Amino acid sequence: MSHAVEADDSGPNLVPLLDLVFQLLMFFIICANFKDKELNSQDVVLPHAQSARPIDKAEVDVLFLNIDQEGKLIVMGREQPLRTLAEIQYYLQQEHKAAEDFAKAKGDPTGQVKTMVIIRAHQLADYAQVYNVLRACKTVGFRKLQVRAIQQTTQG
Amino acid sequence: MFRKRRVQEAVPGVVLPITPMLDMTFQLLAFFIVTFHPQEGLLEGYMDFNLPAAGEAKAKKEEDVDPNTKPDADLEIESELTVIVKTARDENQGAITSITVQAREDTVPIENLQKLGEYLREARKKLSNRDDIKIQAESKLKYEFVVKVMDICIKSGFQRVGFAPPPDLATTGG
Repeated sequence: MSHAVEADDSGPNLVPLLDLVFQLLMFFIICANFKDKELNSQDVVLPHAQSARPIDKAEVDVLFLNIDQEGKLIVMGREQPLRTLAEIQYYLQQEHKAAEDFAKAKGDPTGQVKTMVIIRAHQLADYAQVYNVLRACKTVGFRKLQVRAIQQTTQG
Repeated sequence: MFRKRRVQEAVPGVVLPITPMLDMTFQLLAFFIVTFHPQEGLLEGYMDFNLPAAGEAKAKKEEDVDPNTKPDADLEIESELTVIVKTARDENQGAITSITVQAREDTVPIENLQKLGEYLREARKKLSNRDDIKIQAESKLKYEFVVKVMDICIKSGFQRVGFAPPPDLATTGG
């Protein structure tokens, strides 16, 4: 009898293990949130538009281009923003080439790029700065573009 | 004695681990508190526009689009109307100072954005191409105002909004 009782008491304690697993889960959830913030730079204050439509989350092949107040391009994976038009164009060329290679690897011999370029520009950026990025996108070969704005439901 | 011991082993005490459940609940609570950002209904939306290549602009269906067509470097689309938006340099922080609508025959000055909407709705009825419109803004105009003009164009019924290069782009070095 005494042997059986001892065996029950010395069983593995799963409670701290469960705690650890939940802590790890929390860590990964929070990290995923940080990545989302990186994609959608919080430094960018978007303009308001009544005709802005709800975002279609089914679009997965996207490239986020955040343009800050000074016209610098904030992109994912780079600590420093892109300042000059040459830097922006070079970056977009690289992205377009990668998308083209990816399309070819998936079996499309033409390598048609279906990436949606999402422009998130600060409301106080100059039009010329936004225009230059749009033009660079088109020069490089991107066809699908989307401009982001805050949905405005009331007048004003 | 032997029988008594078997009964004790068959009915073990059930202990519900309440503490880890509480821990989990607090963790979830903390998560939602940390990630909660009250934005008062400020939802991000999209305004899309295509950048058609010259050969692609007239394609009616997606199958008709030629993927090998090289895109032209211009953001302009063929339209009968162009909204010209100007700003005063260094005086009004990039706000709109004048709006004119250029049709094929004439140029019409517009007082403000509200009047622009009214004018475009009326003018669109007389056009053969009722889908396309172009915006030509000066380089120092703030993007916020360009989006306002774009918004009005879309609300007036135009499906595609194109952008003409800023007329002063070369002089500002942008």
